[in-house]
Amino acid sequence: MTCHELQHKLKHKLPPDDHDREHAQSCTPCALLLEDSSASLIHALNQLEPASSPPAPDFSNIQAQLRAESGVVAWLRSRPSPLRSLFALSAATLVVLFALFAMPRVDLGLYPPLRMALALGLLSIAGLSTLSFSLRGLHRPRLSPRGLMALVILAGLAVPFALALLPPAHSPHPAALQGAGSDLWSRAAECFFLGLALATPVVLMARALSRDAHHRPLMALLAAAAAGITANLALQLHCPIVHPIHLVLSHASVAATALLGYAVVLRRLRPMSATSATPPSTPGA
Amino acid sequence: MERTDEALMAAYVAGDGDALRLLYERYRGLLTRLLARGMPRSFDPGDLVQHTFLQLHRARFDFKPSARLRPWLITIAMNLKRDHLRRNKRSREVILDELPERSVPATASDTLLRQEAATQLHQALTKLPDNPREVITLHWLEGLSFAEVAEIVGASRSAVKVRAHRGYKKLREHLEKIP
Repeated sequence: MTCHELQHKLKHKLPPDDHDREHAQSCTPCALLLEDSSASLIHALNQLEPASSPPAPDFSNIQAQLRAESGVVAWLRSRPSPLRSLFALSAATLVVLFALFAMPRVDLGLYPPLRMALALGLLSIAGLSTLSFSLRGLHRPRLSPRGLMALVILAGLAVPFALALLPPAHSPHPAALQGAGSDLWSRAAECFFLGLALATPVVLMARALSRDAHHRPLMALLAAAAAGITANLALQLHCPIVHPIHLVLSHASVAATALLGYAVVLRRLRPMSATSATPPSTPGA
Repeated sequence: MERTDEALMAAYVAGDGDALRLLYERYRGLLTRLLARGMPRSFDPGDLVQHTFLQLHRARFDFKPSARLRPWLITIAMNLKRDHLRRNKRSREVILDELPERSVPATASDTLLRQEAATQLHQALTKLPDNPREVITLHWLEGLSFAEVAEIVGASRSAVKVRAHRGYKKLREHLEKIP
């Protein structure tokens, strides 16, 4: 006896037997339905069936949509999820390696290794988690929206700002003392706009790989958080200034701006209705 | 011999376009019902049904040959429905005002009273928290097994049963209050 079989009996007002009662002893929902002696709950549940289902769209509409699925972006987003994650991770890694090899920080030899490992480690974990969740497919059960928002805030904002507010890592190198006096805003602007530029390819790649083009706000915020974190990673390997005020104004704020900016852009790009990007459905025959 | 859903999906992944049409014919009724259930009178589930199959196409290489297609496809549809509701910020009270009417045959007064109870139960169902409501909709109304429901909502089978039990209990309490 299974739940399904008992349910079928209850739906069709067939009398329960010993097998049903035995099953109900180990199945609390079935037990509750079985003890519904007046059958009012079951009868009411049966009445919930609508009189008729709405007509389904014609398959030709779906075929038209599938024909439109062509090009590089369509190819990217139809790859298996592990491969999509690898593409996204590769884009982020390239950005970080670019900063490390093309414009490395001049005080790299003086920077405390453990401190560097802490910063890179925390940012990497934050980046990996936000990036992978941002590409989560619709075929997987949904995650708690509160949990995802907590991840956006923790990984996307708390980690970069917490690292920026730590005491300066060192002071002997002359470059480390810049960016806190009269050149505060000019240095901050340099790093800030560089950070935004470094974040851009990551968010573009994440959007191209997303199967719903980030029409889900939380997924969009996760992608923006990942881009902001990548920028922070790159700036950590590029910028020698260690003063917290510079790091807050120009490194950590890139993460906040990425989140806010993408949310604003997304609002403008998002279709007005749920699926205005899809052809209107034609009721099937 | 009729091919299974999983065989059709494997064929589609391998490039057989007709396999998708056959899958669509099999699932369009279920998906249309599922997506329309509990939505306002003015709602047309057709767009979401189309979008479900578009997402199936995009995610086709993620489908494991050992998996079952039905819960996989319904998960996509339910996620799209939730996103639609969230995006359109429909409150449950607004949906209650616009529920589709049920066709009520002209029968004896006790049936009409039971019909009224069903309408009130429908409202009570809409007011349930998301978790038990989804489980009852999928299990009782759509006839999915608890194992399938567990796969769709991403919980264990025992957690799903607990949600169903809580949901039925609340609905029964609501019915008992109706004079």
